[in-house]
Amino acid sequence: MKSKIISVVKHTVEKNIRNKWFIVLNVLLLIVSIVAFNFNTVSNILKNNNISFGEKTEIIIYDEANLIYDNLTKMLEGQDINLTREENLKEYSKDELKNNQIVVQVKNTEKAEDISAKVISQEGVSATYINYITEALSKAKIDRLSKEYNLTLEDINKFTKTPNIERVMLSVDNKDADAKYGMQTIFNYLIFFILLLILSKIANDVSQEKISKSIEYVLTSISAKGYLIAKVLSINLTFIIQFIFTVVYLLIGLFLNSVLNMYFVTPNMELNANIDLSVLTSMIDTNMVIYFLVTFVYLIFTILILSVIQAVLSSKTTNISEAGNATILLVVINLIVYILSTFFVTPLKAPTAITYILSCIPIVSMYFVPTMILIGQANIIQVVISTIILIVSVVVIFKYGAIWFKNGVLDYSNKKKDKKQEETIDTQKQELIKREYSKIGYVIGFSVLLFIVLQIGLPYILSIFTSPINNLFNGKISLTNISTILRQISFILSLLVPALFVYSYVDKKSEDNLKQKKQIEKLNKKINIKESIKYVLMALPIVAIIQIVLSIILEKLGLDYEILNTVDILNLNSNFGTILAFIEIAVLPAIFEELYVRGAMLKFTKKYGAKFAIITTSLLFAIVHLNISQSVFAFLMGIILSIVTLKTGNILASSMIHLLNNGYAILLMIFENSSMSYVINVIYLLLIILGVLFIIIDFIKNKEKIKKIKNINKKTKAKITKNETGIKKYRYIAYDYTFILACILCTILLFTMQRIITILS
Amino acid sequence: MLEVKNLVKKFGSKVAVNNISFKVEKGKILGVLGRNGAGKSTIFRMILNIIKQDSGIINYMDKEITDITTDEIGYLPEEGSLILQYSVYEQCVYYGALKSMSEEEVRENLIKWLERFNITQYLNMKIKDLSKGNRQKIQFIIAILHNPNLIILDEPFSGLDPISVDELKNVIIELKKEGKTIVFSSHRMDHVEMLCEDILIIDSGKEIMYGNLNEIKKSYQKQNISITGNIDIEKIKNINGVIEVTNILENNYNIKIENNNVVQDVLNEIDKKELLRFSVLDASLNDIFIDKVGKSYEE
Repeated sequence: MKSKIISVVKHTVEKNIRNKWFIVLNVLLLIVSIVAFNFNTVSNILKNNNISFGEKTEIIIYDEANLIYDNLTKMLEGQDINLTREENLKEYSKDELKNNQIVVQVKNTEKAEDISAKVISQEGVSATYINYITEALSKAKIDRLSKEYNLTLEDINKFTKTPNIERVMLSVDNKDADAKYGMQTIFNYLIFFILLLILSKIANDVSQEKISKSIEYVLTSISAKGYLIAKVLSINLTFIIQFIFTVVYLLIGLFLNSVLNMYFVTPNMELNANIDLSVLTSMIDTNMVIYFLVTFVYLIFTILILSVIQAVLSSKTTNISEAGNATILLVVINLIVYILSTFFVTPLKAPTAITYILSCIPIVSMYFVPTMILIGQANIIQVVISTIILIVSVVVIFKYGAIWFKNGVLDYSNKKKDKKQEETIDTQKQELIKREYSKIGYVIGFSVLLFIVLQIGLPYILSIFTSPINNLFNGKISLTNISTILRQISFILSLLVPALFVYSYVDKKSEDNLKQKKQIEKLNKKINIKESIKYVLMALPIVAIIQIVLSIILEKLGLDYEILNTVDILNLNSNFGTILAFIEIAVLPAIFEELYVRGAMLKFTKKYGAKFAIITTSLLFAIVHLNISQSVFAFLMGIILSIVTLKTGNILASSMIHLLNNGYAILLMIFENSSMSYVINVIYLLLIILGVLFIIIDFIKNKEKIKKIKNINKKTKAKITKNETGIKKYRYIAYDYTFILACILCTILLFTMQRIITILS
Repeated sequence: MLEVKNLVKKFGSKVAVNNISFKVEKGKILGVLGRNGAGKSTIFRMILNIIKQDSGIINYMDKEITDITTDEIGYLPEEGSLILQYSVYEQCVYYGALKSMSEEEVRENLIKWLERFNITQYLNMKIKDLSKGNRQKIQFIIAILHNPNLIILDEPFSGLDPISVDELKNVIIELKKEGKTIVFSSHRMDHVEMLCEDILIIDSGKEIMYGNLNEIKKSYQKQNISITGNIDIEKIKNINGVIEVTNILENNYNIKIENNNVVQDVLNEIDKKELLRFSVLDASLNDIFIDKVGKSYEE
């Protein structure tokens, strides 16, 4: 088997290297490394020999009092710049200035603190020049101030000097720990890059051989384990070869650089173009050497483990893109582990027991052990144990990986076909029902996700526009009012978008039937409006009762019950603000929450049963409020509103109830402590009494009708239970991933949203 | 040389191969016949160690088959197992490496076989640019590239035109003369009839018939009579021993009979003046197959 593995590895590596892309990549790398190392040197040499590309930068200075001119000339000495002085303050137009010209106009004032300058250029000035100018200006300023207050330069230094902080860490003893830790971070990102390359190559190769069924032939000649070893080794070997090549290119670049310096750089030339390796070498100590060795060993073993996992995962898939997703998954897992490691391993914290335990787990150890060695937190026993575990797990994973791999890679042929054949018509029907209901789950789930994302994200995106709009109206509208308006816009959008999304899934065929009905309804429009008003009045007392009962219960439980969560943000000080508040609390929810919940969602879910529709929309209504203390009331109110909507066939009535309920609350708040609040209360009470009367009348009128309906219902119910599989099918809704995600997010947000808002505002 | 005893393989609750035994001697050809999904490929895959049998023994040269002995086995999978992005040459070198061959050996043998099939021009072509028939030829060349002693061919003739079928048939006969042992499956009875000494017929994983082809034919009593002429068919249908009468063309009938004794009875019933042609034929393998498996077997 060994000889076969070797011959396969040899062949694969050869194939990878004798590939035109490999050659193109290497030529590119060589060019890049040579250019990167030598660009500065070459340009310096050219400059010294008065050869330059393009025109020299020219700085024209208007500086009447000679505040910065001398300083600037000193600073820019040796650089390839022409400095000229201008006598008169000129206005420059677009055509007068060349592209390489910079004009600096210094404004001299009596007061030292008002010294300033204007920099004019055609296409902007690089930050280095601006820094020079700032430095020169502040120098001038300090000079003037020191004369004014009779201070010496030393005195001023005393003022401006930043106090020194000496950091003493008692549990950590390494002087360069911080710098090394930073370097190690860069190194880790390099590792991710390497992982991505290797894993995606493995994913590609494995799925290619699986899809072409070449694996069928391959496995007749070599065992799955042998194949796995050969594949993983050959790809890693290819990569190591590439890595060595790259190092060689870098060395060639460095060598060229030193040659150039030797022959062309004259002694008086500045040495800043030379690559300074002393910074790097000063940091290298024994810890550093061990770090590189350990990193190398851990990297190799960890990559072997990850490669096998990747191969197994891609053996389970039947197309290349899915195999690619597995790569992304693995790299993300690595990223998470790395981020975890930054919490546990830092130069500022002594390692805990958990850190040591984590550092023994394969893959995790890759990010823990080398870093701990680098910052001097590792101990020998820990390193030995984690290394042994790592090596053992490589052996184990190759053994079991081979079995899983073989099962996966041959999976396309037998098992699935047999399963499909065994499927009876019943299970196929079940499958169809599952499809249909998980689709409902998707529509509900995704619309909720849309709502949440927009609800949280939009205010922040729109808040960018607060001050521009304020400027646009020259401050005529106060900032709070603008932000209120923007909040309202985001509120509208966050409900309208999911509503449209859900509406796009409403069955259009049943819509057509509805249209016919609506035409009939149009004839009875007046009656319909009357009907709506009747339902509104009937609903009001019920809502009031719920409200009272709930507030009592919640009070007893010690939970504070408030209807308005945005009370604190409201601006009731001005007339305009009050109107906005009324719109925000009463009008907008009544229109847009109803559009989403009762308009779109109820229409969509109605098809799957009235009870189901009512419960779903009520739950959605509770969620839309994103507030746990409101959601109970919202749920109960949602039931009433949904029933009303189902009875009247449109959202007019439910909108009115919503408007009355919210409007009552906000009006009481607006007219707090004034006689108007008394009037409002009386009106509301009258409406409720009217509603109670309507309920009684309706009850008496329909007593007989209800009996009849009940009888019919009993009959139809019996039929329904016979025909359908019952409530069980509704569980398929939860089979959709977006629905699950939406549920999780909603549960979290219901409890935390209130706190998030208070923290953010 | 190859011996299979009491082989059983189940996929879940379905029994794919149910107690199959057979034996192939050196230099012989065994034909495995069966309907689609009868279990032919599953048997081959078990012989080649791709999947493991639930019970039963597979011996090659009295030993179990391992990754090293598979070097002596050539295999042509039923569904193409070529990597479409590779060129013919690359593919052969890769599969050669899997069979412990050096690139030189692969090159030498590959050129020889490409010349034999007159497809040398495809050497550097990508497999995805080849026609189905040519891919099948490449697949066949790969199966015999490493000069194996046992060659297992799963539906080797599928996708080939009649001329290519002839070419392939000749190559197989040559290989047999060289002393190679060959096991192959096919759905074309004429190919099997022409090439095989022994046959194994299976259906839903069970052995229906196994043995020497000539002996099987001899023991099979039923015969066919082919008649051309204006004949009263109703009379013939009533003869005791006539199984079935089919009208092939106008005045051309095929009469299936129980055994040889019925021939005289049929001849007696026919008006000799109207008779143009009368011939008695041994049952073809196709007849035997259809009779035994019970269903028509043409794709």
